[in-house]
Amino acid sequence: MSRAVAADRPAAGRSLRHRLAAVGLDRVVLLAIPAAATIGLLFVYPFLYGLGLSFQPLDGGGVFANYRAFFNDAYQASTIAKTLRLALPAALLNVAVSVPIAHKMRRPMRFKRLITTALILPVTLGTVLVAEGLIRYFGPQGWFNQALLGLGLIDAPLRLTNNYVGVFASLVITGFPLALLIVLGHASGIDPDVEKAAATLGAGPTQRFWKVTFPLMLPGVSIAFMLAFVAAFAVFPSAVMVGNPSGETRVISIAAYQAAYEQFDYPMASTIAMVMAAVELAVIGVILGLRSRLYRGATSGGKG
Amino acid sequence: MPDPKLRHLRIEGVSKSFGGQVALSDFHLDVLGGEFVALLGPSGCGKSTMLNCLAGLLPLGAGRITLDDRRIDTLPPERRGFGMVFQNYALFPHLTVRRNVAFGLHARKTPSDEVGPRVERSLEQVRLTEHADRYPSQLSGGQQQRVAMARAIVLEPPLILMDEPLSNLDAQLRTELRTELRRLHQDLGLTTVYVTHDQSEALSLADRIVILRSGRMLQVGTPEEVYTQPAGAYVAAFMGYRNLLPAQLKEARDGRATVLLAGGQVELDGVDRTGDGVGDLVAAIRPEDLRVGGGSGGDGDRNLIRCRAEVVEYQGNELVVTAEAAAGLSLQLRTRERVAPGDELSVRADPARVLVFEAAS
Ligand SMILES: Nc1ncnc2c1ncn2[C@@H]1O[C@H](COP(=O)(O)OP(=O)(O)OP(=O)(O)O)[C@@H](O)[C@H]1O
Ligand SMILES: [Mg+2]
Repeated sequence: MSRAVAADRPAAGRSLRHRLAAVGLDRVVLLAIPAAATIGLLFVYPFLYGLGLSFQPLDGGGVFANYRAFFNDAYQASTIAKTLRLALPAALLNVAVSVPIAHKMRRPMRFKRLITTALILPVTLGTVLVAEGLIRYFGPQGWFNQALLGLGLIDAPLRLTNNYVGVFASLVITGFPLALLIVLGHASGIDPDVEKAAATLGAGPTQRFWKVTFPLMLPGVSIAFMLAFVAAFAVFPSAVMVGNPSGETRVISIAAYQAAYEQFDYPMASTIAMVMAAVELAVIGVILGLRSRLYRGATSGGKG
Repeated sequence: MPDPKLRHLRIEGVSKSFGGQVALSDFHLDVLGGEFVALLGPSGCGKSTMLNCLAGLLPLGAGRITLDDRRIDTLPPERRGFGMVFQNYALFPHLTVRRNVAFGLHARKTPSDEVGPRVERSLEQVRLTEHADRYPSQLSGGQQQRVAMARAIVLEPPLILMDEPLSNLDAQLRTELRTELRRLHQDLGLTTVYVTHDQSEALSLADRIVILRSGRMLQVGTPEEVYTQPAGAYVAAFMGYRNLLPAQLKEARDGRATVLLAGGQVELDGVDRTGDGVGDLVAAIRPEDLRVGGGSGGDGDRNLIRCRAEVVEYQGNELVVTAEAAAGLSLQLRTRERVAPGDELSVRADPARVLVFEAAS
């Protein structure tokens, strides 16, 4: 009796809640509103502001003058290719190395915590410290070259910094732990019995990996790749410190920096930032497209 | 019934420990082609360990396993060719039902024109044809369980291993699928090793039951043998002898024993199942073997226990009564008589149905 009364009274409020729930809105979703608002303020507003600015060139010439100027100037436009040449292979390598390591680390192993800590440490260092370390270690006067010279293995120091190699190395050192964390976090949610089942069905280790484990790891792998790529595409400090910022590692963020703080052309800097965003979105779109073609179904088959 | 694909599986002295803790010790079993063997025991007794050793998912600590005189315990799981149904099904979540079932055929390089028909046939056998294009997450627990079955039987393995495949299901589905399992076993001529902690499942499905406790085998026998002649007090408890009453021996002769309960206030005749009859004993009686109102049995006070009903549970066509006898002796009995809490009862136990064991057995 008392139940029926209690159920009757808030009928109006309840039906609203039910209607919201029917379209996928419940109180938990409401919790996301502050976060969404913050993103709106910190990301969408500056983005739209920058987008508007990019259409107001300082020297006139029409709405698209800045974009035309960027793409017609080979020195500027080539920054896209230079950045992609760094970011794509670095992200690919980081993820490709993460996959087998994450695969191994899923099962119980010795020193797991120690290994995880050692792998994750570079994240806490920051790019500047890593770049400094690279100079000290791999620079012409660094230990690495001195050791090789001392052993008589080389006659002149190898050029490992102030070029592509230096920046690439720094992107791997700072990007790999991130990729591994994401891949590992996702892979540890895969039911280990699924691989055992594949084994009892006659699949050997290679087949098990390619037919079962890897497809199940793919969602995590693609997220790791996208984040690793976006982080690498925005590379700045190491491109300056261990790269060749006026030559082969003049990445797109350097071009944006120079437009903003050397030429004080904010509309041009905004234009370059918009080009960056467009390239990143294009790559992410390709990855998402590939992923939806390769992978269907849920990560874990539920139980009864 | 088709011929089984295996003549003789022999497990000899298999042991397994995990870091000093013994999970399985000295397991011996011969399984004949076409047999349905159940491994029965409580949680943690080593059932899954034994099954995983058979499947090749765990290395043996000691012992050997041979299949038709060919040693197989050193082979990796993918080369043993057994089918396994996992406790949590372990379906491939990224593949449809049809591709889940076809997985093993592809892995074993079955000619591709054979794969389709065989997959369809086993989907029919488990009655899942209409769900063939769904993903596992779109199926109910019972349907997932049948996919797991189909995935194993499509390979027509010589031996099929099942680890509590029904434990995640509700009671009704469990009894339905139980019948289906037995039917598949017979129709396909399978040889099955089945793990369960549910005695009624083991009794109804198996040709032979192995009872395990803490990694040791307590008894191997047909369902009837383990049900009517449990090897010890522990197995008896598992087989529904809810009353295990502490007892002292009065005399034992010709396979019969007379024991004293409750400090000598009750005298009970039963079947002597003790080894040498020394030490503490227990008298094991099923609740349904205690008859209420047996006062006029003709042979006086023999096997008569006076008690008072304490708790009465209604169970449809009968009552389950917990009663208190002299000296704190507690009895559980089933009866169709009307009994109310507080009633004074006299119950009689048929001497042929009372078993006397050593307490530690
Ligand atoms: N990987 C492992 N590491 C350590 N101990 C283990 C491991 N697997 C099992 N054990 C131990 O071995 C014993 C037997 O385990 P097992 O899984 O065979 O039990 P079970 O009979 O299948 O129980 P359940 O009915 O709960 O599944 C248990 O005491 C368990 O704690
Ligand atoms: Mg188990």
